Amino acid sequence: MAFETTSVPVAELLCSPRSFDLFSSGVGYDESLLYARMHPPVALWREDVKEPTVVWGWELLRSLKAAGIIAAPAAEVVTDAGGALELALRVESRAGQYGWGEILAIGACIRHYRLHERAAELTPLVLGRPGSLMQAIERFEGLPEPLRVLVRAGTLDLKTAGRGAALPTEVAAVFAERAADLTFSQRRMVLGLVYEFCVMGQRDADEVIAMLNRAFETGDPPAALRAMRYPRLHELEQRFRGFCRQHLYGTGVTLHAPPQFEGTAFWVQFQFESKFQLAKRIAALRAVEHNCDELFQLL
Amino acid sequence: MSCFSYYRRRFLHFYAEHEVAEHPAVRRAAQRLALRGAKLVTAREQIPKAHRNDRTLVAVPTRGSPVGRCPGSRGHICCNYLTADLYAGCTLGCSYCIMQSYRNFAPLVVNIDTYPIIAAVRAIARANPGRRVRVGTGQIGDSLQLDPLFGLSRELIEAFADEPSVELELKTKTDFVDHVLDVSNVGNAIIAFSLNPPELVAQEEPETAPVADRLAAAERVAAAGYRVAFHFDPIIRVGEWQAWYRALIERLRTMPPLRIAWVSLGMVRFTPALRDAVPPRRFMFDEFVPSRDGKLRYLQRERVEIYRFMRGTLEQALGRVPIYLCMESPAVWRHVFAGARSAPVGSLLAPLRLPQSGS
Repeated sequence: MAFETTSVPVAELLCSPRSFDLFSSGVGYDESLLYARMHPPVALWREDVKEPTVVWGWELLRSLKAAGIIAAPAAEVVTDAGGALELALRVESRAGQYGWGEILAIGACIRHYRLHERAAELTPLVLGRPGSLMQAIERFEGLPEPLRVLVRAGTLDLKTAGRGAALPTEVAAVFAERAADLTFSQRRMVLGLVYEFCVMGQRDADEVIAMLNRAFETGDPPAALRAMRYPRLHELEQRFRGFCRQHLYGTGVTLHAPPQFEGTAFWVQFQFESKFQLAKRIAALRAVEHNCDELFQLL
Repeated sequence: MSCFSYYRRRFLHFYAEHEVAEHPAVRRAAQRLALRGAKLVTAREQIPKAHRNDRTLVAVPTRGSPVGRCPGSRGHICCNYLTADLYAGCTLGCSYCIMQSYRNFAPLVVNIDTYPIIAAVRAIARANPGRRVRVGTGQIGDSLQLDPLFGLSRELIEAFADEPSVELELKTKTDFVDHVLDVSNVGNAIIAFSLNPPELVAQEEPETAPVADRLAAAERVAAAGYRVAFHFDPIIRVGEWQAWYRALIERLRTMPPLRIAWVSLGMVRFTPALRDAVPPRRFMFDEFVPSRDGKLRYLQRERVEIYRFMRGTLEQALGRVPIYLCMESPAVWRHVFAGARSAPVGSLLAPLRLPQSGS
């Protein structure tokens, strides 16, 4: 495809309709490169006799204006609105890297020009993978506001936050308030557990908020919530830890239970460098042997 | 359930692939659905998208390997059941059904030709002299939900009647048995009923027959000369589960124990994918942990307690009937059956040799 490039006043271009002002990469342009004209042309879309619309280059135009440059190269393309959006996305070329503000702007453009039928085809250019862009946008829009803020800030992924759509708003708000104290993976764990309490367990909002607050007081909210969600498993883990503390602490012998206490066998691990150390380990194992009924009760 | 009015209400479309258009079972089903015939397609993919749902039946030729092993589950003991998929899919709507997470074709598929199944099972029986060959049609669909329409089970029952080592099991959550009551020689055929307490059926098995109807059907088939089997699977720990299961098992006292071929017990289990795919269920809020096969199950210690309760209650009600566990770990088997009165089923569990097709 060949485009003819013309020079157009920046002020005139900035008066164009803003329906394609979609991108805000935040990177900015180097002024020296702007003065040297080392930048791509602004992309203009003309559908019919109407004035052309800037479909790509809004960030560039703002930088040019700030740098006092009065004209910009512009290339005009005649196509339909879907073609114009595709062109804009291809020139921007940041598939999979758009922030939620940009994704929502792209969604608004699709709605404005009624491009829903082309949305699936445009999705890889936006999300960097196949799927449904509009469904993702609808999921985002269906989130309680506190979770939208987290997703928009990139501190929570949309899939995990999607579970939050079913949370009472007050629970989502408490979670969002405290989310800054958690790592990304902790947020996912905590939200997953909160979802289970609220939706699967049908616990009321006040009770779940109280649990969340108690969990955050412990310093390890995911572990505390997990203990509340899985009290029987937690009790087995506590008993096992207690056994190890009582009989093996400081002996150099490590005892392992089967994962989730599912299985028939425990196993021990130790190393020794002298006869004395070996005797010490064996004595520890004797203590385990004498008390092993306690262990087998865990399985 | 009165089956023909049920079918006419439940199923709106009936397709058949050209290859089986003239098959007697297809003609029979069309007639019973009060249709002139099935709509013909070259392949199931030709069914219009709007009809690719569970209100559509599709009759197809039996393709591929007609008999396979139950896939079992890694790290768990498999009962070496053989499966023949006459009917794929069902509409009984059980909330825990694993098929919700992996079936990618919504219409109910009927593999219409029973001959390849009969030939394959006979070959397996010949390759395993002196061994019981247990084969069932209820692995990926209900054995009897569609059977009054197509009448395929009768063909299998009659074909295996003269195969003393073959135990054909037809497993159902319906009471659709009347169409097989007049088979003159049932051989070793077993009609099996999946059971759960009525309280659970109401919540989790919405379109299945009421338990009382299933039990009445069990009495009818036993009176007609069949052996019966009962599958308590999935056992779900919810509400007053002990009282519910005890009351259900008490209702089996009317069954003559010698007519009970076996009872299986299986604990509720599901993949994380299924949990995410279905609307939230209250029973899923219990404590489930991943097992060796990746499925979520109750803690091992608690499964053992539940199985022991079920085993003890069954033994009190029915005496010495063969009981086995479905997809359970060796550790659980050991804990549950240590010192048990239940009849041993060990010989059932040795794998059968499956001859290569054509041998």
